[in-house]
Amino acid sequence: MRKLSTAPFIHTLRGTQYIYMCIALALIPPVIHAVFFYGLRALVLIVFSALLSLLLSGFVHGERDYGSVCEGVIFALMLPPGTSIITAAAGVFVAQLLVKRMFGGMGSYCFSPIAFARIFVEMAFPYDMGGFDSELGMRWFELESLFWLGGDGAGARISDYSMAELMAGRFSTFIGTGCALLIIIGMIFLLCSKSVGMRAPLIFLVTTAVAHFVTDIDLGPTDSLVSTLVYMMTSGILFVAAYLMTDPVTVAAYGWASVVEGVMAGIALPVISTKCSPIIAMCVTVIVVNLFDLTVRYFSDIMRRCRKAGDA
Amino acid sequence: MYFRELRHTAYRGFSSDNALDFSKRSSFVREVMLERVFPTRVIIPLKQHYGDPAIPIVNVGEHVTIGQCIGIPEENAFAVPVHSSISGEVTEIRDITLPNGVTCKAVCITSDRKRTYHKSVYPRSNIGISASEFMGIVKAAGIVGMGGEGIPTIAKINRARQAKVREVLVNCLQSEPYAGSDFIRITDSADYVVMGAVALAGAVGVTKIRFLISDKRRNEIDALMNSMQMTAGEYSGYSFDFVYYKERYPQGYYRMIAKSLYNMNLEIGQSVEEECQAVIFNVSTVYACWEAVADNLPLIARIITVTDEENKGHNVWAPIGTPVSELLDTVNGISVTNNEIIWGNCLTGLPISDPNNTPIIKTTSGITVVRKTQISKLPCIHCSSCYEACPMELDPGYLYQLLKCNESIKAEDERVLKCISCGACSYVCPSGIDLTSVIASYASARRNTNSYAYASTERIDISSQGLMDAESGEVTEPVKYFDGSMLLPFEEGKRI
Repeated sequence: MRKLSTAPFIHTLRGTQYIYMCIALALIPPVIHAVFFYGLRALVLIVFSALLSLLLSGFVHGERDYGSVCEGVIFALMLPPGTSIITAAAGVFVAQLLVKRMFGGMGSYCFSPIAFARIFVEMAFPYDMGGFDSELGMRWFELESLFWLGGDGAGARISDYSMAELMAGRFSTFIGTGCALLIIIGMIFLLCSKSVGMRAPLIFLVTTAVAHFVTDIDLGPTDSLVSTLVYMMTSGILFVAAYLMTDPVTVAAYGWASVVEGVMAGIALPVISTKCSPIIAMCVTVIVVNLFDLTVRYFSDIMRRCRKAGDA
Repeated sequence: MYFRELRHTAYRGFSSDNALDFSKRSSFVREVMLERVFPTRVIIPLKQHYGDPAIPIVNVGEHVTIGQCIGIPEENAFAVPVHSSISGEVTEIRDITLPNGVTCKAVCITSDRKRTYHKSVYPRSNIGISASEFMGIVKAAGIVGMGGEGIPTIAKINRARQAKVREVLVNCLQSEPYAGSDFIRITDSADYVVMGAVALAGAVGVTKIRFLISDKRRNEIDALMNSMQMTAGEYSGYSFDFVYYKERYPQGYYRMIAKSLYNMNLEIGQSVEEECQAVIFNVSTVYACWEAVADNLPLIARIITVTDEENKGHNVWAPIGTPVSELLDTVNGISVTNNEIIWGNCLTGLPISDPNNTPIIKTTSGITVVRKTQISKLPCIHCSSCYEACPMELDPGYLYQLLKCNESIKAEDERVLKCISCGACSYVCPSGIDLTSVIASYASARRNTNSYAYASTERIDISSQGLMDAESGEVTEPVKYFDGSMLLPFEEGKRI
């Protein structure tokens, strides 16, 4: 067969590197929040995870996979501030070597390596993952206390904070999942850059919010609404939607599949949340959606063949 | 009211929002400018169309003039005549292989710098001709589809008459990056376009003419409307209609038009004429038809967009057969060093290595110079961008994998043969995977169109010699009855 052409001779500027660059840029606001709130320690953890991911992916795949840098950063941002580097390294090893390498390789892995690694460290290092130690001694060069009045928030409950404080992420949570405002800025950037499909994550958020509102409706509409808003801002669901549900490899970016997956995740999350901790529930939900995506692709092939047979 | 109807229809276009709109990137839009090129020599291939080659009727050393017939169709061949585009001396008749794989004879002519027209070329004093006379002129002028497929226009007219079409569609939907030759044709000669469309409608036997154009092309729309108002008095029996489209690539492809206008998904082997009762002519072809009538000038030149990626470039009027190197010389500062020269436009064109001996032909709408860049190829990330961009609703990523695994039967089940080689999938692929060359090469080879890379040959059966007969069928819808003596269209030439 004669190769007719090498056309086209121009390509979109939105290559893989552009996509990962956009994701990296969208991660800057949560990283800033992490460093601002948890100090240099958080920065060390983030940089360490990113570099180790890049190193391992280069070692495993033989080429630089800039997507792994984003994965390293996202993974680090989902860790508690007191996490040790050894725990982070273990998670990165699992993500890059076990999930990405063994389950399809670069661009073809079947479920989110970050979600799997996060579940792994939660189960393997329960003590390290157990708390949100916010003693000043644990925060190297932390900047947050320069700007905020009052205490450091250790031991405080969510209900103790105002809505503004919750929005700003000034409460004990994982390194980068706290500040809803900055995560929303990251989401808006991703949406505007059109680098990743945002349909599934947005539908996921809407479904979750509706499900939460309906579940709490017996509190009354106003309280239920406040409860839903607080949940959306503090649970880390915004972070999961923005950075885990936008992975084009494991979640459908376009078409009806993205709608179904978004709705399914929103329905599955409250069910799974009754069985385990919120962060594990969200990671399990992501993995369930990833596996569902595999199924959808399989059945869409079958449907296509059926349609073809019907046409014939 | 000069014309019966001038209706603004709703926007049409791809259902997908991800379809390609290159007009949004200012670097893809070229300044509209028209210069004339007077080459020192031309290389005129005798097969510039879909079908059989013509045979030369001139000898080496012979002096030829502009518009003189230099190649005629063999008896019963699906071919059109070829004419000299400059005046000068025939220096060589040799075999040539064009970038699209066509091998044929070519007549090389060196210019005498006099630009002498053949005696048969002069403005026609009376343009009131009958439909059958018009068809004779179109055939003798060697007019072929100038949008890229190169189907002889006379064959299209006859096929439309056989299919009893109801309307003529004038395709003004040029949407490839940098390409602007059709638009400058409209702004420069809108009156010829309107009158050509009327003549074609008369030849086909319909009174309804629809111009398909992007809603962003306001200058071109205004030019066409003005021309309609100025000329429509002479053609009061015809109705004009605009159909506005969103700027999308490749909206001008006939299957896309059939889908958007008639909601018809044309399968392989189905034609617009038979399934939609319409016939589509490219706007440059329409112009060429009226030029043949009004100026008695065969198809010897066309407008070409010559450009590179550095915002250097313009549109030129160039004689058919002009070597690419001479076209590039007209653009100041264009550099071919470390660059790739494309015969055509940058999404569907073909690379050339010898610009000195590669001519432009009747179907060449652009010459593009692009940087030789090595796209870093990464594994597919299953982002579905190619699926979203494919105008034929194929799954290019899946087809690519099937063909790479030699699963050609499965690929054909997935309708790989419907690939139109538009290059959209490769363009949008973030991983830089060369989807188009694998899929389009397979599809084209299976459609047995090796000799003409981008032709959808299922539209015209070249064994139907009757399609090339200018006098076939009963002419029922005259353009306007002729009341005087008829000028001979062109010199028929002698067989050597």
